[in-house]
Amino acid sequence: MDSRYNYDEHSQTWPVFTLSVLVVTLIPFTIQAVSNAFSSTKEEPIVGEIKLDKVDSQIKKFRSNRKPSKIFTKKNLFILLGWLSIGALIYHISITEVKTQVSAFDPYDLLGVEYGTSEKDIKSHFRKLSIKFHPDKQRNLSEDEKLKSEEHFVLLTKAYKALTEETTRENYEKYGHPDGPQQASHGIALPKFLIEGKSSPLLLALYIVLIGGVLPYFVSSWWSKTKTYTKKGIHVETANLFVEKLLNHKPSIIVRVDTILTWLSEATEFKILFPNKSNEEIFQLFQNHLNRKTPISDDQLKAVAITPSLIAGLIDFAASFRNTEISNMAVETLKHLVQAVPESTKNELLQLPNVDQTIVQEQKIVRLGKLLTLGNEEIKKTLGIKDDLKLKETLDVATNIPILKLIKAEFKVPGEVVVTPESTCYISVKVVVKSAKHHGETQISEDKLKENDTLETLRDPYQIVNAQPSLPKSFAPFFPTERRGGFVALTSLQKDTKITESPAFFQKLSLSNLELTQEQYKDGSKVSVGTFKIPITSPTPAQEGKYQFRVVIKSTDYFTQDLDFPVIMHVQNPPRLEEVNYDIPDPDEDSLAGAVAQMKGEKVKRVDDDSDDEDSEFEEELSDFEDINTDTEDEAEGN
Amino acid sequence: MADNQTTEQTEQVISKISVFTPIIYVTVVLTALVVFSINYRKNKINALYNRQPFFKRNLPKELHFELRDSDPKPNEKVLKAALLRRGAESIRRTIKLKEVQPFITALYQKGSIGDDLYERYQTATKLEELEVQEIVAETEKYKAGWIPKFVPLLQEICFNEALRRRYSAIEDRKLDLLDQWEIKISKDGILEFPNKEK
Repeated sequence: MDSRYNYDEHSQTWPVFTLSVLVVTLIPFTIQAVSNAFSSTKEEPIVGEIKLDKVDSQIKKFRSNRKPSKIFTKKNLFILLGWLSIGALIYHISITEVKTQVSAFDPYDLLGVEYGTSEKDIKSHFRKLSIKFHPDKQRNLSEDEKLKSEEHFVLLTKAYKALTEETTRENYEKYGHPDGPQQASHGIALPKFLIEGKSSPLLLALYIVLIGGVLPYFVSSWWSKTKTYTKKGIHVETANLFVEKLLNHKPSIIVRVDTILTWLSEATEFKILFPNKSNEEIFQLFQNHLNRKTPISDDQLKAVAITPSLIAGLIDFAASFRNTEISNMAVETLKHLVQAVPESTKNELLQLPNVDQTIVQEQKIVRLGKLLTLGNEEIKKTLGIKDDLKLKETLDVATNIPILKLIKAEFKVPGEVVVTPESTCYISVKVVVKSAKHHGETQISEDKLKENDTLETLRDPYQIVNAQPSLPKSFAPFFPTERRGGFVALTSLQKDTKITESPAFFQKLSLSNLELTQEQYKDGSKVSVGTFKIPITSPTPAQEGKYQFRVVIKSTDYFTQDLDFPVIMHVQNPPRLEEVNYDIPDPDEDSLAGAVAQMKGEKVKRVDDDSDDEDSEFEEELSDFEDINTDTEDEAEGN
Repeated sequence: MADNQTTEQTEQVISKISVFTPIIYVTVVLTALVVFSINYRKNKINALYNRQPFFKRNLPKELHFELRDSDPKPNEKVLKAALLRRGAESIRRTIKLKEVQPFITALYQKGSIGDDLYERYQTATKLEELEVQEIVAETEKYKAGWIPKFVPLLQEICFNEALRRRYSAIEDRKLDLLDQWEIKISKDGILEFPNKEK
């Protein structure tokens, strides 16, 4: 035997090696697949979900086609093949005999004594054996047998020496053999038939293809994908398009749903999806969708299905460019696409099922809340519904669309009583979800608004938000895919009315209030309070003072009254403990906020609205230059 | 035994390799690398050529060039006016680029825009700097020492135009908003709200 590497000649090692690799990779995958299969079966119904099935058969087909099959996936195929080959390998191992090449040298075994026998006993035992096995004592043997018996006797002597003589014993202990170090052999767990003989060029070719072809291909395709798609998942060209549109946007022109749709229609995603379609044709697909034109073409469904990700990208860009108008309108456009409703003032009613569009347009009623103050007959007349059963469906949807009501909004620094300078803060927004059927005020006790400051909440103040239940699937029968919508919060600075934060998306909120009756809602004891926390990325200003912000919270899927409220960041140094003043005065009667609140006959919001007198201070901070910057728009070209 | 045979075989193969083999190997590798680098540079230059400008056509600049190079030369006042227009446009673009700089940088850091756009932005900034230098040089031709007065003048023109655009857009904005809110104007100029209860 030489010291070179030897391959697996008897196919003993490589099956075991392959088996262990397969088992190590397959077991985690299998556990994951099994747990997935079990978790998906017990999906609990979410409170407030609208279960009405009004989906057009063609959209249904489109949706089910898009849903990947749960059983016939590549992963499952891999798992199945993996287990099959494991079975085959185990069978292969079980039928091959294990031939040990180097027999282990065990002196105790050779002498036939038990491990740990004393030297004295061994000596006497060896004496007995030598009498029995000494070659000179053996007679009447053939040449062959003689040779064998001699060999055996040599072994016996070696074993004896290994246990009694000093040097041999040392050798045995160090190298496992009385003769000293043995030849070392290194095996590679590759079957021999691959290395030698006809298949060796095949293996070489396989290596070349793997290293020279497959590996570079995957790396380059991964790289080009990161190059062609941004982190937000939109095409780089589309990102360029949006940036150009925002850069060349003229503030004097009003952005409307059609403006946003025109921008979207130029996206590269559509050029890839429909190489033969012009921008106008794609825009027309959007229009057909908004106007619920039948028959629905497959292209239309495909085009509309990818709009949410594009709009999310556009909102991201618009917010980065601090453009409030475009950000707002992008969210509005998303609503229009989700509900398939054209631009109109009656969107809240048009999103309901079974309504007659032309009749609704002629009515004076705009709001859902107003609609639900009417009697059933009047509602039928307003919406153009004739059937009682259909009316029930419509009302079911109308009462289950969540409407947000602001309870309290304030800036908070985790672990502090006041908003301290130069610290990370967030806007804590407390809302009550109500149905359109709920009217009037609700009584919310103070302790429902309180958050306990524990070590956990200090470390992660957003825990409370994430612990809320997920929102149910939205009622969007005309949208090509099932949607789980949510709310988006846009925060802007009052002094220049521009967005300061990237938009915050919320998909967790309890809708349990939708099931309350009007009395329960008014009483307020069963009303649950939801929480949004809008992170503020930049630290609070170093200077003490009051800074005015405006927050708009919009539903991404339903037309409802959006929340739009002012919040004041009152930056002050942390008070000394004995001087803490928790009282926040109500707005002064002579201030604008107070007057508005009185006129509405509302209780004054618990937003700290007490700083109108200080507005002027911050207005002065505006430099002329800053103001002009925004005015200089690209219009000279007249295009 | 089999091992010995294979070693002999490989020894035979090695003895067959000629002197040209390494030379051929090196030439093939080098040619491949050279071809790649030539192509890569060519593509890069082509990409630079085909890079879309950030802004749309610069009409005042084109106009100024046309007037300056036309034969016979127009009145100097006309040329100065064209230069002022060109300068005002350049100021507008410079301000715009400066204004969006933090947005572009933030977006680039977030990974929302690709390298291409960021490079385009930087090219646009450089081009605008060159344009300003060119305008300054041009100004010097008309009258030495005009610059200190010339630049504030450009700024004023730029801001004035911005204000004017805003002012003239008011009427269009009004009509657009009325359309969006479905409000009509009656013959005697009174707004008719469609959803208002009488």
